[in-house]
Amino acid sequence: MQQPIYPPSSRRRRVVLVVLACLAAVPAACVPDVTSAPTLASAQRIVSLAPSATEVLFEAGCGARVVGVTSYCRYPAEAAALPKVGGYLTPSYEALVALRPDLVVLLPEHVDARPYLTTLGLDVVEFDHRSIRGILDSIATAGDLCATHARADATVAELEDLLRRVDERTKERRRPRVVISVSRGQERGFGSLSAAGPDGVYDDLLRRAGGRNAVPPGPVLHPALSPESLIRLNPDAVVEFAPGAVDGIAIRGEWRALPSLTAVARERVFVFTEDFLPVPGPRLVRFTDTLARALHPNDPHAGRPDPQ
Amino acid sequence: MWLAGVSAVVLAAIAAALLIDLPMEGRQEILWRIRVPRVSLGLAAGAALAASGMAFQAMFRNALATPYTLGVSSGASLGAALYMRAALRLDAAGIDGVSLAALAGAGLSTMLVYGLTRLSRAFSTATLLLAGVATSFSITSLILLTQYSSDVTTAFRVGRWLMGGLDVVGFEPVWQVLPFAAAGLLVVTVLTREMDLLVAGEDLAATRGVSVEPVKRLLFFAVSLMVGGVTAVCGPIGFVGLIVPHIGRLLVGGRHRLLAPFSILGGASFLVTCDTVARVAIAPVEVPVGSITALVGGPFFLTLLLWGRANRGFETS
Repeated sequence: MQQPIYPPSSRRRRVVLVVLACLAAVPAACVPDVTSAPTLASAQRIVSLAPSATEVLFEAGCGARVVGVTSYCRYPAEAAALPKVGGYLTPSYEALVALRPDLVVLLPEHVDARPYLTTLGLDVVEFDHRSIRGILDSIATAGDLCATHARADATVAELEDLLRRVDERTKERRRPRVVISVSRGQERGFGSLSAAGPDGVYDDLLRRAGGRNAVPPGPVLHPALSPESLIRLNPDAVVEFAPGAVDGIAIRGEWRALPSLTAVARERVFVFTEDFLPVPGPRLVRFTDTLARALHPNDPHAGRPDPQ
Repeated sequence: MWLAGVSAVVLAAIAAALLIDLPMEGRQEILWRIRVPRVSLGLAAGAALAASGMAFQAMFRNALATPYTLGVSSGASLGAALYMRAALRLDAAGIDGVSLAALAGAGLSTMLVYGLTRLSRAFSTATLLLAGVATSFSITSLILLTQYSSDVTTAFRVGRWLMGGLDVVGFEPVWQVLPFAAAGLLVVTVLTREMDLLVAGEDLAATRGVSVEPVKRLLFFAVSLMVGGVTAVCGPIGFVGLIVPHIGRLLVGGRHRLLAPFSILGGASFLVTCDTVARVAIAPVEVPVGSITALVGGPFFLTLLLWGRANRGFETS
């Protein structure tokens, strides 16, 4: 057998040096992240890379200037009929360039696409839909971009008024501890669910609707909760999002599998099947009112009983 | 003749961009900033992956060896996944941060596998293989943990990255892959005789004057670097490295003097063909190329295996 070429200590040192060199390359590569501010006053051909951005553009009166959307953009109906540029995080750059846009609207989530769009010399504007405030701000931004201030400002005012009324109704009330399920496995009976963690737009929605998140802060943003963890958390109410589901009442019935939950015993399980729930746009902002009415049913101003 | 085949594939893939119904300016932009870089990257990546698979299959005398057997791609994927999970945004010298992180991951996992192998006194092929496979599995579980603890968008990005893709814009990714691919391909084409002898057995190779351990070490590092460089940009694209060399063994035999050029050219044209399918199958939505390679190549290989000249397989090379 062959002898080692280098004595072990020297070899180890070389390995350590190579590893250190690899590690050093990472921070050395740091450059500050510069987010360009929207500079275009009159975009004429806009491509939207997210369903929520499409919805905001149409609400702000920019609809006529939108020339391309993703295959997930189904609302409003005019948007669904527009040319598609591929998926939400996976656009086809050829299809995008072929539409000759002068502005591409994207979200902070588009970190992979953004440098490519810059390479292609396209102007981009970022909407931040990770909070209700961000959604409202993006409507105003869209109004600036298309010079449709009146329409955009009216929409923002309408939504702010709605949020203010919900806040006035609920602020004096006890805030229930709520688990929001954004998706739940049903393949093996009552499976684990993915909950909205204490961050992001659903947490914001819940707070504005007069609830508080029962899920404690942690490293996982959409923590999976097993039936056991649910029983330990024992929230006052459960909100399940089942966008597009046909039978919300049947889904609510499945929660009888966990009779020891306070929320189940007191019939405080609310299932919502609206298909816009995964899209953090203006319709989700309006949904604050629906959610608040579910969580605070004794509200004398409530216009309708619990949904489902 | 082989070169003509590759050229036909490339020209078809590129020329199709000229048929898009657009003003000239738009067509040129698509051609030069998207289509040509993408096809170039496919050529480089396909050649590198197929040559890597061929070299590892020879070195390990194992028909199931792939460029990813030793965990290089797992290391790269973990680097990329951690980078996305940490929501970092950095880049240096025009190289994307995800690629840098993946490259660092590939380098570290290669060093780890090498270090583990050196713990046993000799540079034993069996130890290398086992160390590589074990490292690969451990790293894969770390990737799953990283993905699981991410938000939906990041989990999707990581998942999408793990499927592999060539959808780049501009030539920077191509320049980034080229040095790794060129260096690796050079080593592989120079060592054809040594690989022939390694397939016949290390003892036999030694008696024929091959310095077995230095050759194996050189192959290990050259191929790992090549795979790391490609994976850092394209993500792990499966199947090319496993099957193209076997198609070559069926068509041109197991001698590496012919098999190496076949793998390089065959891998290049195969990946570009698969990427074309991925791009147009349900356009404008693009399918990850990694999910197409096996779909297109599997039936082709099985046809060759069952009805072709099966007597020229791996075991007789």
